[in-house]
Amino acid sequence: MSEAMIEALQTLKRPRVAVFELASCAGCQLQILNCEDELVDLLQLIELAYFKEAMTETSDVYDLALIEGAVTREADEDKLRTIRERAKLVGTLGACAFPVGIPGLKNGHDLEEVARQVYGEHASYFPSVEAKPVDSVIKVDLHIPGCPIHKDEFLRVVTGVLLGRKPPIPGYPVCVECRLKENICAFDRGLICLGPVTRGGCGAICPSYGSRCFGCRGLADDPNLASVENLLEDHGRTREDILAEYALYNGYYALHDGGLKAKVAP
Amino acid sequence: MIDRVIQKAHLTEFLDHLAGERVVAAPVADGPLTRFRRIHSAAEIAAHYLPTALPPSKYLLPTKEVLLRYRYDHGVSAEAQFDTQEMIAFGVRPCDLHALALLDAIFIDDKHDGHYMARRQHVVLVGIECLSPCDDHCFCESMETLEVHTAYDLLLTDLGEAYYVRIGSAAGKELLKGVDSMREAVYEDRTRLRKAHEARYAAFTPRLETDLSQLPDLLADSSDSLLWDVLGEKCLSCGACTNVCPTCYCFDVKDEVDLGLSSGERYRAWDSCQLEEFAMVGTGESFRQPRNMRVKHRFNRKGRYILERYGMQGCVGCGRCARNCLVGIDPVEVFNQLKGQPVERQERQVMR
Repeated sequence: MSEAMIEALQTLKRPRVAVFELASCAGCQLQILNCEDELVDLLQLIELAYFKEAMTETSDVYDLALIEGAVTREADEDKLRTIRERAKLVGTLGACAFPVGIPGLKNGHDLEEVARQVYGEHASYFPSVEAKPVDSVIKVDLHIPGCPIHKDEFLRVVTGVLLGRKPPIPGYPVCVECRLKENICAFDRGLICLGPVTRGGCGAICPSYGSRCFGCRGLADDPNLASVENLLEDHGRTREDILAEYALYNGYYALHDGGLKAKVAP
Repeated sequence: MIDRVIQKAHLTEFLDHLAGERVVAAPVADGPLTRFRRIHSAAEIAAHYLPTALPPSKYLLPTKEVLLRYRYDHGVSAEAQFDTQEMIAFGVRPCDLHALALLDAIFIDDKHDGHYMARRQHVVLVGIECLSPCDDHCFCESMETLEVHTAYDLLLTDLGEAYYVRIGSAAGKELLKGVDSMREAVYEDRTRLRKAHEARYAAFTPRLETDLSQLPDLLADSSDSLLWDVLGEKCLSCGACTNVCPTCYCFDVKDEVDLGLSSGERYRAWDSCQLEEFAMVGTGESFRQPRNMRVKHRFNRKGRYILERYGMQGCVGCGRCARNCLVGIDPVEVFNQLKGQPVERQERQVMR
């Protein structure tokens, strides 16, 4: 977080918060509402200005904007620019907003054909573009990652932001917490796993319950993609398999130049 | 103190009783892993086991530990938190006992760390000697940690139908009072113990190709080795090696503020020199950002820095890091490769 941001925050007594939704399942917004035991305390700290999932009243005056969802329509871009002008701080909620996640699965396919499959003869009513992350359109100050976000992490970020601290989101990979939990490594269970390159902070929840990491929190700060590619190849995966692995949540960066693809390629 | 001999059946009875009355942790198997966990009967204890997923040091230096709780609504007040839960850790291997002796030297003798000391006073360590190697990854024999004379309260050696018991502390002696049936060791028992120890060395093959006393110099001379670059390209910086290491003790201290913004807690949590943020300072500058430097640092900690600072081995040869490394970085191979490549190093020096 920049010094200007910290300064901006410290002047706020009870910041007005707005929560917006683009293409997404609303699951991250629901995670905020799932803070049932903490909502009363939370509302002492912040004032809700706009949160369609939770309340009827609306307002265009807010300090902190939290955006869930991916950009999938041209109109979304104007909406985002307006939000950026009005808010002092902009954060994203969840994998759809960054690094795009599920809405990005259509990218790389014929978008008209995709629209026809989903909306049939009414496809033209729903004009849609390639799914892209919020920060490809406007400057974003912080990302709260995950699919969905975790309510405890959301609360830690909110308190951190109010105190003018760096948002406590780890840069290290999922493996760190997975080892501390003494899980049996997914690779030792005959699976492959994106834990070594995916941002931690989730408590390695998927591997802890017998699954493995799919990369929903985006890449760690310092992923060794080339080495993981070799590792996955050692476990019988082709380059196409590996790109498909990344496509579920990190597809936008896997497809775009200068992003994951450039890093994954030898 | 006079050694004892306990029949295995009597030890099982004793452990069943003990686990019913007190907190007893022991290695418990789960598929390919064993973990130190609280047990409620001796039957839960793994019969044969590799070094546990996390070392037993997790009971003395928990992965996350609250150091103090504070309030600042009416002035500032803080209260330190100490854990004084009594527990018995049963089945600690010699490698881990050596590691705990190192942690004692650091956290008690050097740092007088109150939180560590509070825990240490309340943990009784019952060790079990290894008479055969765990697997191909262990190299305790090379690190001279197969034999252990410190850290334990009791040390058991398998003599077939019975355990030979050495008593390391008053707490160990006190614990034995609960055993109904045991006897003092006699000459014959000590002979059997000695034979078991002698047979052990035939089973453990030396794996390190350098004399242990030469390891610090080898690492010091290898600072420019190209091997670090090779390892840096492979390393995932996932922290598996340091998290499972019984001699790794680095932690980060953080404050977590409650939602009311008027109280909170300060905790410490395990950290790893393999992570990018570890050596990062307030400006965002990291003093050990390149991966090869981080890898080199870890091996120097294990084979050189800790020894230089505390006079004890920084690696106890448990093999956990090698067993857990997804890309197969193995300390024995690293040390042996450093030993085998002086020519490459000279060429590099000439090139400058």
